[in-house]
Amino acid sequence: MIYAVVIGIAGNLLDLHPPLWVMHSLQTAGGIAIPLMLLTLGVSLASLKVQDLRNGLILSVLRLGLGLAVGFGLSLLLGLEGVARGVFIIQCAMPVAVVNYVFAARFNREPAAVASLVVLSTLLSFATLPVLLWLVLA
Amino acid sequence: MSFAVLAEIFTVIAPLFVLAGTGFLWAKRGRPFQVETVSLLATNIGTPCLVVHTLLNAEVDRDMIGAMTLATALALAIFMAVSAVALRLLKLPVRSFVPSLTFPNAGNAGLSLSLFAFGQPGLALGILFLRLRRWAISPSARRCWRAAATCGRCCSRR
Repeated sequence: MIYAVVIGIAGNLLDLHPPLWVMHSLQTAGGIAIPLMLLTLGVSLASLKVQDLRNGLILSVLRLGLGLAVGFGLSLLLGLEGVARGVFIIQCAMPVAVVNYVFAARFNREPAAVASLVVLSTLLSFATLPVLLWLVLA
Repeated sequence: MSFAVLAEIFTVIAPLFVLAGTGFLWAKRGRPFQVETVSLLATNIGTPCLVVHTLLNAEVDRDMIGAMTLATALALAIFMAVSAVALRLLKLPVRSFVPSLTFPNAGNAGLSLSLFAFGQPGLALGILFLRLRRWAISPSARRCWRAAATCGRCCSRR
C-alpha cells in the first residue's frame, strides 16, 4: 500500500494526469475496496465472541473516549480545519481495529480478550456514531 | 439538532450499517466467506487502486498532508502513553492491551466513514491517517515502540 500512497501523492504534487482508461480502471477496481472491507468487518464481528464484559466495556469506553478527546484536542492545538479536522477526529475516535485481534492471535497475547474488545468497542461506537458525526459535521 | 444535520448523519452511517450488517448476517447464516481471500482481494487490488485514484484526483491542500501526518503521529503516541498508564492503574496486562487501545479501526470503518462524510477529499486524508497507523502497527515499528517503552521504564525507575 505504501507504493500506492507514494504514487498517488507524487502524482498529485506533480500534477500528473494519466489517460482516462487508466483512471477508469483504477476507479472500477478501487470500487470493490469499501464494500469488501465493510462486509469483512461484519463477518469478523459475527465470528468473534465476547467474554469478560466488565473489563471489555471499561476498555472500550477508554478507547472511544480517549480517541474522541485526543481527536478534538489535537485538532484544536494544531489548528486543523474543515475536512482535515473532521477526518482526523473520525479516525481517532474509531473502535479497536480488527487487525489487533489478528496480531493477538498470532502472538498469543490474550486473543479472546482482544476479540471481545474489538466486538464491544465496535458495537459501542455504532451507538455513539450519530453523536460523533453530529459533533464533527455541525 | 436540526433535521438537516440528522438526515446528513443518517446518510453517512447508513451504508456502514447496511454493509457491515449484511456481512454479519452472511456469516451468521453460515454462508461461505473466506476472510483471508477477501482481505487479500481488498488489500492487493481494491485498496491500492482506490488509494492511487483518490490521491491523484484529490483536491487536498499540500499543507494538509503534512498537518495530517503530524497530527496522526502525535495522536498514536498519546494513545499509547495514556493507555499504558491507564492499564497499569487498572492492573490489567499492559503489553496485551496497549495495541488494542492505541490502534483505531481507521481502515474498514474509518475510511468508509471519512468517504461518506466528506467525499473524496475526506477519503484521501483518511488514507493518510491509515497509512501511518498501518506502519505504526507493523513489526518494524514495534521494535521502535519496545525501545521507547524500555527507555520510559528506565526513566521512571530513577
